[in-house]
Amino acid sequence: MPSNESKATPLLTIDGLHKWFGAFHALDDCSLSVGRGEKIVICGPSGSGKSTLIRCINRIESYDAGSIVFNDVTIDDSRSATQARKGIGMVFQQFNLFPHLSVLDNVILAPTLVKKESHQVAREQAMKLLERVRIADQKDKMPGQLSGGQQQRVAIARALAMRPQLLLFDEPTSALDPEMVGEVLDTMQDLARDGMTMIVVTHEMGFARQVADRVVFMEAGRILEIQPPKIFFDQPQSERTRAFLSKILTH
Amino acid sequence: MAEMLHPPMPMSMPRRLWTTLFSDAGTALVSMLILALMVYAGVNALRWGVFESETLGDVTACRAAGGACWGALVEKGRLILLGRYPSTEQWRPIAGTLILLVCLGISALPQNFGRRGVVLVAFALVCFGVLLRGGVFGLTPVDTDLWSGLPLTLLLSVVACLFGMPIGILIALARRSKLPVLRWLATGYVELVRGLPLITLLFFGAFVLPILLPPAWRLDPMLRIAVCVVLFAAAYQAEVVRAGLQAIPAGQLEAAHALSLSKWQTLTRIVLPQALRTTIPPTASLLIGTVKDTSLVAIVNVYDLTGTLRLAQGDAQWRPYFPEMYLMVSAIYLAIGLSIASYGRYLERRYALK
Repeated sequence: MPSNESKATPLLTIDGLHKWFGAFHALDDCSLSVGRGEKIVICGPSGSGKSTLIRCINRIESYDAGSIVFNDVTIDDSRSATQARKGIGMVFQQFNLFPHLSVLDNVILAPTLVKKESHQVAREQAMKLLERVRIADQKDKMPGQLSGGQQQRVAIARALAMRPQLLLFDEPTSALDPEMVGEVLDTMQDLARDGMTMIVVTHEMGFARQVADRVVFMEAGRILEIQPPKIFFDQPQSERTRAFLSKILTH
Repeated sequence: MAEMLHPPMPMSMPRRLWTTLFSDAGTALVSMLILALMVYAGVNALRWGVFESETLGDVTACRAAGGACWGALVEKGRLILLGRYPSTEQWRPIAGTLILLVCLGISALPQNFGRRGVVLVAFALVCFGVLLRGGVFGLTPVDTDLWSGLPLTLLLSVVACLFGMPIGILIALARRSKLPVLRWLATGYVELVRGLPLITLLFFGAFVLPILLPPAWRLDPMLRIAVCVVLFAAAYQAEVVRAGLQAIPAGQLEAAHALSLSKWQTLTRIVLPQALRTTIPPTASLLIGTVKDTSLVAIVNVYDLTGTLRLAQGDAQWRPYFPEMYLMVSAIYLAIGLSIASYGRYLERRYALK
């Protein structure tokens, strides 16, 4: 488990981030740094800014103040940031696979277009990734023919095809039928074991307990607590965290 | 609960007809009335069109026959199909039309989509133009005023559909642009053109534009007409495409962004393929409408298929037999419309988002 020495050279540093949606203060002075190989789980009630925070990291959302530095590059609309962003992958709640492309074409699209890899190389690598997420036998199907869990695993393979240094997960299991949550969490756990740096927004507290190096608790746009899971779950420091945990863990 | 071990047996066709048409006294009465009417109309149509008809191209024979005079088509068919084009050179519009149709057919196959299809259609249009216009390769020059009939209807339809589509896509994209000026221009254009009847646009193109522009810019009248038809079709196409663009979930754009696709790559690889797929049904209707709209050019003295129909009726001797001529022209439009519709259905099935 990476600890202090990796935090010395963080892969990602978020510092004093503010974001407004009109008059709504979506992110209020958020700061977080993530070391290489570290697994962060972000949780909190809905509307607390979790998704907004990770969407700012790869510039799906812009921010109004503060900074995000990834690999020593400030993430904004500059050319260097666009270049740096290629090292950040993302997995969405609604999968967002491209419905007009086959599973295989979904995975090789970005490597061939963005990294200009040859079709052959991209295809070989895509097959390896599809095997890794255990869905290689479905490579010629269209996304609409797959179950939610299968689609989400393809989406993970698609993100991995760009060889990202950081993977963002925005509630990856929230849109799944209950019996499919496990297969996606297993895949994510495999990735974690292989040393991928991950930031995961999720309500799966079991996953947080097992996989996270640190758990971030957000409410009303603020980061209220950042703790290793053991402390977070067993001795939460803030009153708000205790209230939140008591709500979601009693069921 | 009673057991049901087999799925219900489907009813046989005659039995199903019987039960739907004659289920009770009222239904049976209405069915009988409608059937009687259909039989009456059918018998009359057969008598007029077949038993009492005359196929000789001879007016006296037709007058004697009392039924349809298909001979009128023998006599006037060439005029309706090829119009005022010099009859000694009639192989040229025929060859041009065949080349155009064959090339369109080949480029309509999905394996030829993209550059190959575009090159093929461009080649066909050039062939068509060279053949009909002449002046090169020892072909006698023929003024575009004399282009008419089916070749002209096809040319205008193909040009309107092929150029209207990409221009419509550009206008639709402009309407959703972040640049306000571009957005206003595109919106203004669509609303203006949609608000005007095509006839007024054609009048403008045929008679007003030549007065406004310097003489050196005076385009060939046929080209001006074609431009009007294209711009008209583009405005409607733009609205169809815009509906398709709006149907694309934001998540698709976010996924493309997350994969670092450029704006252009996102547009050409993610957005347009999906937008065009979802708009196949309205696009097919629009194209059929465009083909039929080309008949309005007859108003500005351009003799398309409906224009040559009027020419044919100018002959007082054959004028009584206009229904036969109308039937022929209707059949041609119907064939074109049905081809577009079935091609649309084919594309819909082929590119369904499963």
